[in-house]
Amino acid sequence: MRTPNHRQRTSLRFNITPLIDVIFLLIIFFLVASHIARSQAQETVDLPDAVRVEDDRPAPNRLTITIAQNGQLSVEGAQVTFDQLQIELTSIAAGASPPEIRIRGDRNSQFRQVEPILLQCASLGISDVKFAVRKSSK
Amino acid sequence: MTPLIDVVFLLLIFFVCASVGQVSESLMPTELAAGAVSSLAPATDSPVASRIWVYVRQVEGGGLSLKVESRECANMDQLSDSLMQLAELTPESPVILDIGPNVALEALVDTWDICNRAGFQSINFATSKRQG
Repeated sequence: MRTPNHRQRTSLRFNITPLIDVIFLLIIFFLVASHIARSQAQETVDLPDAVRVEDDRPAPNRLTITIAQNGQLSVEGAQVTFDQLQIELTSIAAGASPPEIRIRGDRNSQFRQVEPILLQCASLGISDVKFAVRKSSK
Repeated sequence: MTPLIDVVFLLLIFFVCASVGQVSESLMPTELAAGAVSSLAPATDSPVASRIWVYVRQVEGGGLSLKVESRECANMDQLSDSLMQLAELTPESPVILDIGPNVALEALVDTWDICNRAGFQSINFATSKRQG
């Protein structure tokens, strides 16, 4: 008499739906986190308008200087004095790749607050200085 | 299908929230003549092209005093017209912006933008050389 050979076959199909859910949630989390980190590092200033502008491109050796309406300087979100800024500029000028300085100045800040930065950049051999502006269609 | 729709909606909500109240920043390209401080004067100083001086000063009462060489301009539009005419004749002439210390950054950016749009190849800042 033959005994029935019933091997119970269980399906080993891997359900990837929750995996995809988790991966997408992680992607969203990192996108939000990086967005918040970037927006917190830069103070809000009322930028001037310009017609001929170029798009923002990532630069490996960039220093962003924010000038508030009252002339307060900030570098990467932290308030600094001009002496501290000079140290920052000197260290970035000594970097391996050519430095890029981005000046985010309030539209009502005065040239007397911008000029020392331009002079310091020029004396350190930094030629790539850009002003952050809002694109105007005028 | 349901989880896919969930995720797509989540992504949609994320991008809608991220784009609300976001002011996109652009960059105005400026090229400094780097080196010694005194080299803020034009780097491409051709003997043929004469320098064009643009003076921007803040006057009492909140207005701006604009001059191209010795020609007074009443507003930014007149300054733009004057510079456009000059740029058609000699676009290779270096423009030197002499900006007063009290001038707002907005006026500086406007003036630079006008020179840029006019087609001048070299735009520079004037500065007084410091002692020591």
